[in-house]
Amino acid sequence: MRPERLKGAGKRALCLLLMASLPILPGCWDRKELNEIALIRAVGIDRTEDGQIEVTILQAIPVRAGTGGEGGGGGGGGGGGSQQMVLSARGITIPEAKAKLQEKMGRRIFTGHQELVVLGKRLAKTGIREALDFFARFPGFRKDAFLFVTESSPKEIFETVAPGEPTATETLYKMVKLERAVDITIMRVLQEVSGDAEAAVIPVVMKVNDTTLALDGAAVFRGDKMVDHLDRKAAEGLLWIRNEFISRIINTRLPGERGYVSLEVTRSETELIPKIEGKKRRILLKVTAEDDVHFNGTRLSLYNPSVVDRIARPMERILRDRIRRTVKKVQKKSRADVLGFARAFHREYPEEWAKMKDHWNEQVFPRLDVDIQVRVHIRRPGVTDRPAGLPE
Amino acid sequence: MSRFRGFRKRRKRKNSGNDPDIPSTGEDLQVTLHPELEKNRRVMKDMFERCCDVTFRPFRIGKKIEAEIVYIDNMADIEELNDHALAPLMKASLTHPEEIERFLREELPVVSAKPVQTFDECVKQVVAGDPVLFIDGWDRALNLGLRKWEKRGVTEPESEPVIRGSKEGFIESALSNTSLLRRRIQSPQFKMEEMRLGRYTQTRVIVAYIEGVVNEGVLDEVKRRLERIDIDGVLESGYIEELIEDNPYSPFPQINVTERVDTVAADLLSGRVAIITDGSPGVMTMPLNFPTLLQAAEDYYVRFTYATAVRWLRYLLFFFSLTAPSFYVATITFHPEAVPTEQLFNFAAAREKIPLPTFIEALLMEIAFEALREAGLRLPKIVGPAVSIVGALIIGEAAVTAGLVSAPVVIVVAITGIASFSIPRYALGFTMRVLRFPLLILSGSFGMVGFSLGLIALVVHLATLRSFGAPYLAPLAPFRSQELKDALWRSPRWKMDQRPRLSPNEYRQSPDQKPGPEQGGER
Repeated sequence: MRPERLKGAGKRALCLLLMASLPILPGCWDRKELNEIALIRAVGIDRTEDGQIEVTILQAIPVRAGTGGEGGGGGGGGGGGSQQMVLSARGITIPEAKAKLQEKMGRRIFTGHQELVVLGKRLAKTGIREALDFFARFPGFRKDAFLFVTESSPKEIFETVAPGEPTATETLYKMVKLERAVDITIMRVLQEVSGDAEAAVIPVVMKVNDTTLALDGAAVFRGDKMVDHLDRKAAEGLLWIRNEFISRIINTRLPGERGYVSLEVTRSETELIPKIEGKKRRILLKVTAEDDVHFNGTRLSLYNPSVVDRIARPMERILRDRIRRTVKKVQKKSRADVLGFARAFHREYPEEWAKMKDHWNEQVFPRLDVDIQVRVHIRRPGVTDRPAGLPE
Repeated sequence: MSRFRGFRKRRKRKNSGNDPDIPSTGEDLQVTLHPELEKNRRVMKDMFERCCDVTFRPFRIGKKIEAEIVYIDNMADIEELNDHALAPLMKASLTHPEEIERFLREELPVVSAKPVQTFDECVKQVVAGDPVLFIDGWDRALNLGLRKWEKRGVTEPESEPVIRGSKEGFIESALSNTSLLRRRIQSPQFKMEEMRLGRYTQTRVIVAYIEGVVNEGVLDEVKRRLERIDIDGVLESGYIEELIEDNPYSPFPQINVTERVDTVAADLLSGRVAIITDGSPGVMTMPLNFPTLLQAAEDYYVRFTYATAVRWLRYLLFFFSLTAPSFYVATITFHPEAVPTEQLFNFAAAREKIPLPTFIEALLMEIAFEALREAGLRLPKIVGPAVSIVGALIIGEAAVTAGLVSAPVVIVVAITGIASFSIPRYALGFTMRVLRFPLLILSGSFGMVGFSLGLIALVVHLATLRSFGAPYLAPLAPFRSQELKDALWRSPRWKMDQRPRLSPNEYRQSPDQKPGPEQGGER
């Protein structure tokens, strides 16, 4: 019995020794100290004129809250006081360009907090497949990073820092959060591009001046190539159809009245009802919207239900026109079904879908008959009946 | 390896004497007393040679018969001895030794007096403080039972204070403790069995339980384990605890120790066994299950809603106290992508100029905190504030300003410290303090993988642990929905009808006692 006990003691001692060596041995295994990594907040990818890939990164420089930009500004990019650094490098592929970037930096590139990806227009036109593959494959990328397309170069976008914000991404990121309408993430584009419709939209960002960025509609992709650029109004219609609507101010005039009425669409729901009648394929868009009155420039009292109804009718017309315009544009010009019609047909007519899915974007989608029904309910006409500030 | 071998040899030598030579402590004195006083006196004097505190007081009963009282100064109640033993004996008109016994029985006004037959017993009584009376011509001695030990008053237990509830705490005297308990449970079913442990110390150890409520199996096991103990001395209940545990290597306490009278009474009523050790204010109760360690006595005295909320808070803090530093180290150094972006940037800014790795940083701070706590505990009370000032200033502020550690680590360690103070049982606090370090090392080496592995190992260990045969994680694993009412939450008193499954006596109270206007009073 005793030898066994001693053996146990030896084992224990050995165990202890092994455990004691734990903290020393794995030293640099997967550890990354915060002051040894470069926190990348945004990546830009563009194609140069000679066909190479240009990768631009925006590295945020952590500065202790409260001490202001004292430690920042050392970066090459951005305006004075900013806490970012913009770097770019070229290569034949994205990983190569990234490796070249790494050569220029003392810290390891860490993309775990990269929250924005900006694609240049030239790349978008020639195909974003390569970029998507890179993002999808590499586990160190956030799949919930927001995607943007820009007409200018990503570098220019990154160097446009709004006063008061530490980095350019801050502005863009907050824009997205404010208007959830444009939260197109890598994951989502990956799904849409490989989904039923094989088409996607990515919002477009543009540089207004040295310190201002603005959203500028959306880029429509068929497959992995950008085929069209929808303006802001058309993009809005798109959101309506895709049920991603947040809120919009719309002005309308009443027949026989002077002055405008401003309404905020607070809630809107769109139902897609596909129908196949013989050879004819049609789809019905049923839009139900709820509005609040924000401004009444007419002399009508909104306490009168019939007046409220009179406002609702032209509203419906406006919405219908807008949606129709978008549908037409997407159907005829870009021929890319970013509206979600493909999925509706797939769900409703799985057997027919199998037959038409191969030439959906080219043949079927552009020839669809689209009916639009809009119903507007005005829920909150406001707390005063007559237009305020006018004599009786 | 050679070092190991040397170590082994040394151990072997130590253990080689199979029957350790422990000197006799008087157990071979099963000799009956002699009728002649002189002979008895000689034996006793021999026995207590060089014991300056043992006093021999010769006198005569009724001026005729030689007698002698043996006692220990300050352990015998001298006043009682003078007034009720010595005085009547001296005044007695005894002439014949035959009358002695009758006299002692009928005329000596000492309630606890008891005749003794052997030297062994005489000695035991004397060292316990009882004066023993020897009379010439009588082959027995009289244990007068007039001991009076110095003892502390009953005070509030400092380690387990409550706002509402009894402020009574156990003291070092086992007999006072039994009386405190008996006052709580005034039933003949409440049994207390005495035994003596420790060859030299002869420590009084009392096993208490309520007959009919206690789990007989556990009771037998407790007694068996106590009887197995053969040790030179028991100075604290901790000695016994370590000798009767189920798993002596586990870092978790398997026996509950408390200084609160009400807690022990409640445990007894749940079918547990209590061990009272003379010389220790800590009374042990067993079996123990893990959730009990996170329950405070007050939980049962305040409103149940509040008690439940506080209990949940405590569970959360308990988890914090174990995992906070390791979780921080694991996420910051291995998974920075999991930290919210803005937060990470703040952490990164704080860490920017710190040369040490986060793991070392956290380890340093933890050690510093433990040092402060230990120093605060051991220092004389007067110096205490100085330590806390130094601790707060140096560790909290200067270390960050000097760039030795980053502010987030200080916060994490502070939160951990606060959390560990919220654990109501001190013993579990120890465990957490110890376990935090291996978990920190695991997280620092393997990140979240190590962290999770550590926790899994811990849960596995807890699940295998047993306390006197009862599963340690009792109402949770094995799952007993009936007992959750006192583990996950604290049910109102009128709902706690049943005792834990441990007790064979199922019902605590009659059912349907939920109060309300239609119950009792108005109808």
